Amino acid sequence: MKTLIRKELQENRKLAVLGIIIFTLLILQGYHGSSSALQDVSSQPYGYAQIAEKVQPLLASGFLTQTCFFCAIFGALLGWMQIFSERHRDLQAFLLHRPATRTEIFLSKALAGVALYLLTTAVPLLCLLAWARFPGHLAVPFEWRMAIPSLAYCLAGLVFYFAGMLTGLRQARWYASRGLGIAGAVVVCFAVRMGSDLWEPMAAIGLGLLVMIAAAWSAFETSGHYQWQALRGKIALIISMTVGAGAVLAFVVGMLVSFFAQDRLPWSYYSMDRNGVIYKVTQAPHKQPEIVDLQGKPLLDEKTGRMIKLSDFNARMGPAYSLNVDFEPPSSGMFAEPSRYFMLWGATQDTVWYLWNKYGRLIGYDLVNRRIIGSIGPNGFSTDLAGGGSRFVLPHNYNAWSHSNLLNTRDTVYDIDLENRATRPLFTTTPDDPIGGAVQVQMLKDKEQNNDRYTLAATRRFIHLVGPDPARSADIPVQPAKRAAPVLFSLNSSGNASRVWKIPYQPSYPDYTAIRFSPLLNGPDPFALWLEPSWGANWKRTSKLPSRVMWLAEDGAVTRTVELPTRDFVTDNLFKEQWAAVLMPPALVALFPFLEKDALPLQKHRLRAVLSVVCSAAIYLSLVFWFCRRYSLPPRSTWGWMIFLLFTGVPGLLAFFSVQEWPAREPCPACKKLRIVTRETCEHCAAPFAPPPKIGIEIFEPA
Amino acid sequence: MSDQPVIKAQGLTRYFGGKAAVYDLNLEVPRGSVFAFLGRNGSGKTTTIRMLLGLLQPTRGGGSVLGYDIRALPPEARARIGYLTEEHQLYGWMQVRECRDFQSRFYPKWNDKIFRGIIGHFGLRPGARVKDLSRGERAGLCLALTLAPEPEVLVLDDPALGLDPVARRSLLESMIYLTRRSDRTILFSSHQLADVERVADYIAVLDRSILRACCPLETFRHSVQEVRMRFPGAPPAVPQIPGLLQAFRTEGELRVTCVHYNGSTEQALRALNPTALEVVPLSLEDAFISYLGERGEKSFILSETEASL
Repeated sequence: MKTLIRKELQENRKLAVLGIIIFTLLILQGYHGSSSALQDVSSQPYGYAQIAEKVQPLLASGFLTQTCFFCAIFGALLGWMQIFSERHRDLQAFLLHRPATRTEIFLSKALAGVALYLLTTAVPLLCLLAWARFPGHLAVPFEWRMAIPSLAYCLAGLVFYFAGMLTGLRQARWYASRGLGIAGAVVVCFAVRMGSDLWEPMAAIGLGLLVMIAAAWSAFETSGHYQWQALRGKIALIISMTVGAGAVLAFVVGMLVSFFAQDRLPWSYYSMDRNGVIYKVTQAPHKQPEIVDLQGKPLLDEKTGRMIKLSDFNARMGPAYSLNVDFEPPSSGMFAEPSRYFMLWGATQDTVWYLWNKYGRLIGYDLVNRRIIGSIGPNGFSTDLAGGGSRFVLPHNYNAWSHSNLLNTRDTVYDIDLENRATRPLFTTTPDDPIGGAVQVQMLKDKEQNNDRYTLAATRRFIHLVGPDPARSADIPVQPAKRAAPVLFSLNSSGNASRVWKIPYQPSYPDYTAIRFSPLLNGPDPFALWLEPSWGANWKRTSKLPSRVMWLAEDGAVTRTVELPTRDFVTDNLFKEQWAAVLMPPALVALFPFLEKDALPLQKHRLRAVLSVVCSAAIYLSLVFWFCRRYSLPPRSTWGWMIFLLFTGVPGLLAFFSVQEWPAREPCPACKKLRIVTRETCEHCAAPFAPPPKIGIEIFEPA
Repeated sequence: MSDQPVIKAQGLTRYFGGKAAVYDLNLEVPRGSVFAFLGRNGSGKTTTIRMLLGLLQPTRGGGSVLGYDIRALPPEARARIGYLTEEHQLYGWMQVRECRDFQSRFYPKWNDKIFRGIIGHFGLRPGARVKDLSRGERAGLCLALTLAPEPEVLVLDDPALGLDPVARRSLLESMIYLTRRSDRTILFSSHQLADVERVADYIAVLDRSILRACCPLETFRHSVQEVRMRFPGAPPAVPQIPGLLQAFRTEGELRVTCVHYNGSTEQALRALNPTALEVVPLSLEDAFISYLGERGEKSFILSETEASL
């Protein structure tokens, strides 16, 4: 085996060297992009979104995409080349006629290939890791687990490697199906990208590797023929083909749907102008947007008398500040997202600050020497990272596109002053009414006069507007305003610039988690507050939860309330649903009527669901049955395929056709029926094959 | 054990798509024999060899080599079988010495003297790269790699294919010299009938994927015979006689090639009333060409040709 491994290493070393050069260049490019991303960090006018996603090379989406593509292409190419280089039957015979088992030959190839692959991909990655790990190289937080995404892509490339081998090995007559293994590996890669917890990408890679290794191994043992493979190899091959066919099918259907149904669905939304009037905007493809008020009266352009253009309408709209309320820790997100580890929070001329999730504090880096300068927590600045353990709550409202100065603990909202490396409490609540989120807002009048920022904070029971003066921000009970009943408290004082109020958080969390704050310019009410249901809650209530809009007076009194019905979504998808049901596995469609209501196609139309199941099952099963019978597959195989197709649908059918090798058929001299040539006797009459006809010139003399 | 055939095929059949490349082939190769496998291009020789070596799965039937089932030849069996492929393909990036190193590590009985002897005979430098070798040199290297492990069974698939006469002669000499020294079984396919005539004990002839002959070389040669008959004028049409391969009619002469010439054949031919009848022995090449050539009657009588035009 050593000899074979050495031969494989020698044979493919040039490809590996080329791979190392290309990948190293990609890594250097990624590193350069990351190290130069912070050059102008302090003068970003529109937030840090562009920088945040590439500041850490190990998590930079561009670098990860490059890594993913490189590993996939290199892996598949290496695996395929190891087979393709011996495609000539004589060279293949020279190799296979070694006094070694095919398993040994395959393992030699695989071990050498995996070693070359890892050398090419993992070594440059580990070098990057080592470089990024040491302080002074990059002014960005580093954790070992940040290496997981790139290493996961690196490992996912191994699935491509064995898929490449499988592609080179398969003797499928349907030529295109040889590449279905690679399509299956793409699914693994996709699963890796979508993973949130570590086990998810690892499980996807592990399963992918298991299937691909078994399929490639078995294919190697039978020179790529399905017919003679062991059962485990057949199962692995069928799985890989089905997954690959599913991916191709999903891609094709997706393309067709997007091509034929592009923007076909109208959609609508509500918008409020600076005067507090709500309009409903309905947009449909190839149509002018329809903009009507809540009474259904169209908004006309005063100059032309026609329906107002969307651009003109948008110019009339006022600003809106969104606050997402959540009392649970934020979900960690996909494992390759930088925000899972840190958030680029802000910068000064010579420092950059990250909210490092691990510490719950802002960690500062010197932009010149790229070393940590200390951390800011609720208790102020500290030269160490932990800062005595005081932490901020990880925000739900982090938006890399806009600067934010607010962070909070469970009971206090802080204004962060990065220049002075200090924190200033803006708002404090009681322990039984924790903070679910806070956002800075500006008044329209104030915007013209000064830059005072207010704080909109949501606690479990109330929504608070806090003025720019911290002295007024304590949550102390005040007298109710002499206004309409919903107003409970007002902290309003005499000054216009420091209005402060709180109103009940009603309708309450957790059904309503999205708060929109609209400062208004004219009219008696200077604010409007939107309370919108969470997507999940609305889904559970079959999209029946309305959005509530409240107009508030300066003292926080609710002057008017409107409940907006759920926006219209086109629900008549019956045609699509039927197609989806036909393409989906019958066994799965059969379950739809019993699953969560309205969650899946055809739940409203049980009869159609039943018909779809029956029709698609009949088509699949009769096709498979006919082919199995025609080619005399054993009853066990026939039943196995039929059951398999019930659970896999069209992808399973494609896999069925792509793995089977249809043997030739010729007439049986005894019963005259067509019989397959692979059996020793006729499947109809059990007559053996006749010897070749004698023509009188035969010369046989036993040795 | 020694009486058992070294190579045995039973009902060996292989289809490619709907076409049978080899159909119901039965043969036995005795130990110590040199067995030539003959047939026209595409008759199924290479397919048969690849099936016998377990490199290609038969569609039906089976066989054994050295007592091992060909569907699952174990490494120990392969170690005892030398196989020279028809196009002498090797890894182009390897040097001659690397080829030797690669091959020798698999065979404990590697005889470097044989290897050096053959590459010396072909004038190969150990540092030469395979991709830079001529076809003849590559054939020599392949032969050296095949013979140096001193296999019990040697399977050579058209070893002289594409070689010039000098290289072919070198290859043949090496083969004869090194293989005749011991009780070694050789199965080889070839189109070079002179070579076959020189070395083979037995031949098997495949005709359009069907085995038509399997016998000692001499039996084949004696079984295919030509009968020359003279007639005063245009010869008559050839009657239906068993074993008829070809008939040539020329002015005053009829030449008939047939298999298993015997009394009844002679009687049928004499019924044509020839003025003279002579049985002529054929060379292997002539016998082979007649055996596998186009069957039936050919006429070279000018008047008949003109009439037909």
